[in-house]
This record gives sequence, C-alpha cells and structure tokens, in this order.
Amino acid sequence: MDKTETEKDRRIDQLLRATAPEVRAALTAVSLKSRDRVLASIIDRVEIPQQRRALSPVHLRPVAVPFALAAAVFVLVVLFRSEEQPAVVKLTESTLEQVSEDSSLTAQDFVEMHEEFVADTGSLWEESGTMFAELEQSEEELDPPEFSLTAEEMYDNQTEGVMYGSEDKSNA
Amino acid sequence: MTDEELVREVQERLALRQSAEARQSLGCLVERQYDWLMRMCLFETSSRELAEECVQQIMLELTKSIGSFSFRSSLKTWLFAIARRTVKRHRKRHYRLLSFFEREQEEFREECARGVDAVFPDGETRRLVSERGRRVLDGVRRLAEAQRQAVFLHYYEDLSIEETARRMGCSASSVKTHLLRARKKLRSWFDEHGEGMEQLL
Repeated sequence: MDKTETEKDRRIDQLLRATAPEVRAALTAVSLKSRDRVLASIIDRVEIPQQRRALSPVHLRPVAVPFALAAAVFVLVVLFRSEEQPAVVKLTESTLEQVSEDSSLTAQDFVEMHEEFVADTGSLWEESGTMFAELEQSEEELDPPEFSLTAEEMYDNQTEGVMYGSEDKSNA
Repeated sequence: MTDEELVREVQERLALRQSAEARQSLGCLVERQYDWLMRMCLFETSSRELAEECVQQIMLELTKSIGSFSFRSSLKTWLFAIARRTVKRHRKRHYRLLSFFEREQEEFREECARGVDAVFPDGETRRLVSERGRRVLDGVRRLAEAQRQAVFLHYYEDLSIEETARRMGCSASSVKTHLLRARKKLRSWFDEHGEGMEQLL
C-alpha cells in the first residue's frame, strides 16, 4: 500500500472512530426503549432445563427386564449345549497318544488295558476253536454226497472241455 | 462475577435442581447480555421488531443449552455465533413472508438499505446521529457480512482487534484483513456516491 492509500485508509479509520460513539448511543437508546418489555417476555418464556437424574431402579426396569430375559435364554442355551453327547471319536494311535497326554492315564494303565483285551480275545478264540471242532465232527457224521454222474461221464466232460479249449486255441 | 462464573453458578443450581435460584441466575445472565445483543441485532436487521424477535430467540437458545455449555469458548463468542445464525434465519424468513404477503420485497430491501432511518424509527433517536454518522452507517451496512461485523465490533462496540477476533471466533490477522477491506470498500463507496471523504471529514 503506497503513502496516499495509507493516508486514505487512516482517514476512513478516523471517520469511523469519530462517528462510532453517536451510532452506539443511538443503538443503545433504541434497545433501552424495549429493554424491560423484551426482558420480561424472555424471562416468562424461559424454561428451566431439567438436568438428567441419576438412574434409580424404577428407571432401570424397562431396560433391565429385556436384558435379564436375554441373559436367561443365553444361559439355558449354553447349558443344553453342554449336555449333548460328545461326537464319536475314531480311536487311532495318534488319538490314543493324545488321550494319554491329555488324560491322567499312565502307560501302566494302558498296558493293563491291553492285557485285559488280549485275555478277552484269547477266550473268544478258544470259544471259536471249540465251535469249529464241533462243526467238523458234525460234517463227518453226515452222509457223503451222492453224485449222479458216473466216472466215465465225468471223464468225457473233462476231455470235451480240453478239446473245446484246443479248438478255441486253434481258431484263435 | 464474570459471565463464565455466572454460567457455572446456573449449571450448579440446575444440577442441584434448585429451579428458582437457577431461574434467578439465568435472568441475571440474560440481562447482562441483552444490551450488546440488541445493538447487534438492530444493526444487522435494521428493524426494531425483527431485532426484538431475534434477541428473544437467542436468549431462549441460551437458556435451553446452558446446561451443556462446556466453556470451550467464551460465553460472548458462543452467543455471537448464535446471534449471527439467528439474524440470518430471521432475515430470510422475513423476506419470504414479505414477498408472499405483500410482494414488496424490493421495497423492503431499499428501506433496509436506507440505513439509519430504518434502524432508528423515531425522530428522537434519529436526532442522536449526525448527518455524517448517518452516511457512514449507510456505507457500513452495505459491506459484506464478515466485514460489517468486524466494523461493528471494533468501532461501534469499541473492542480491540484481539477481542473482536475472539468474539468472531477467528484470528486477529483475519480481523485486520476484514477491517482493511471494509475501509477500502467504504472509500470507494463514498467516492461513487459523491460523498468524498473531504466533505465528510
């Protein structure tokens, strides 16, 4: 801003400062005229805002009831789910190892369990052996099967089969 | 007691649910803020009725929201922002109503632009302002919103640059720029209307 511009700006500033008190006084005079009336109407219309009260049990009831119901349903669902039968586990070596790691069973327990199993299967084997022996004995007691074909017929059948077989081979 | 202390007192009384005491403190606060708010609304609207409406609206907003006032700015800055918004809204509504009922919007604008005569409706208050003061006020009221408000606060309300900035919620340099531009516009306006500064000074 050059000198003349600064000078003009200063003069406008002076003009504003010089006229400000009278404008302010006139504005105040107008506002004072309606002051009491406006203030009275404002005070009449003032609504004291209600501060939010602390939540008492009565206030909590509408909120608490649905929450309590939801919590009860959740607990019931969890309980029912825990009573369901566990899924069937296919026992493999790895699962057995896992079980031995997870459970309190020791190696000695497994050895004992194995011996019991062997003893059980041994007795089963013995039982099955006696059953087979009984079956053999009963078969022997039965009559030998009756064959309708004679020895010659059987021979013929056998030779025919050989011949057909040789014919097939010669054809091929 | 400062404005902020009074606000705290109102808040405490509201918290203790002392309605009568809160109302009393609130009344005191409203009374304290009334004068400058009314001057601003008068200056901005050029109509006493409209200014009264605006002040009532501002005060009601103050009483409604005082419980949640968080002291992030001063009370006056907060009120200034409310006042600016309220004046704008009322002006728009007034123009709309006028154009709808009377179809004389342009006439009303001209009346507003007449300045001092519109602001001071009766002869008694009009006499308080000299011819020179009237012309200056006429020019000032034609400025852009931010410039006009900076001039109002700095010159007519006699606030310092820093106080004006605080009230307007902007920096001091912004206020200086607004004032500089306002003076430049006024100068060109005076020159255009054959009212050179030499005559006025």
